[in-house]
Amino acid sequence: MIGFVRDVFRVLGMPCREHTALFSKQLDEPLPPGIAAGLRIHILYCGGCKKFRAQIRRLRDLAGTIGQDLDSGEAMPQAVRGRVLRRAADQSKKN
Amino acid sequence: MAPVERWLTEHGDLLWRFVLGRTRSREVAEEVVQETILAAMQGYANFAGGSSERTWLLGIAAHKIADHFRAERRRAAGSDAGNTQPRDADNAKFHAMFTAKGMWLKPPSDWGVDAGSTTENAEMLAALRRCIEALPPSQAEAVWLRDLLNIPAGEVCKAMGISPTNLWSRMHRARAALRACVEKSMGISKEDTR
Repeated sequence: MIGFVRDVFRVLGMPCREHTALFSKQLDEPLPPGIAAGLRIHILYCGGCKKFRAQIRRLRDLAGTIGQDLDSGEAMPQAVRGRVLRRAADQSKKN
Repeated sequence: MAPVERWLTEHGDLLWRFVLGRTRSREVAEEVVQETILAAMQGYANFAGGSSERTWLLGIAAHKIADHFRAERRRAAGSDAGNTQPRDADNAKFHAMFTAKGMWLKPPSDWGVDAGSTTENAEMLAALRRCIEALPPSQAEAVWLRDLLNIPAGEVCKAMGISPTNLWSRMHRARAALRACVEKSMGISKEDTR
């Protein structure tokens, strides 16, 4: 509990530039509960951070749709596949 | 012995689409796929299975693509300068959003409602694609693996051979740059911050 409260106050005392780094980090891994709670409180009164957070999340979600496009589309051409296999076989012989 | 045939059967199409989508040239894509497979054959003995085989191969391909773009930018700039200038400019722009104490000086512009109309989203998606490819290659590599392919951060670190701290800082710089770049492309920034 002490750690949680300490983390909340630590976040509330940080400058916004550091908050932006935490908003990004939060997209990569869960933050400790006190840090996450501090950020939630901070965006209640900080419009700049609230927009930054919403915008990088929106872009991350959009980026995911580009990645999903890879599930469909052109297959590797047979000719390319053949050349890749041949070069791999040559490499195996050399080693 | 590296199972090259199986790699191509199971992951070849994804690898091809990934590389072709980024290099936009069949010739370059083929070269990158070849290099990826050769590097994978060499590294196979050390592949500990810390990530899935697919992630591992995509990681190698992402690295080879970054190498390709680095070389291309060096050729275009005639020196290493082409590789460092955009990153410095992006960093400077990001820092210009804050006061010396790190408080907002120029906060982000209002983008309107969270999920815009279909046309607006399509426009934003096109801007985002352009902005990702304009990132420094090492940042584009991280963004592709993490945000586009949604590979867990731990696996991205292993695939790129970097520490978690290094990945977070790279992703933060990249996301801040993408946000600013998309805002500018869409013409929604309040003013030109140059």
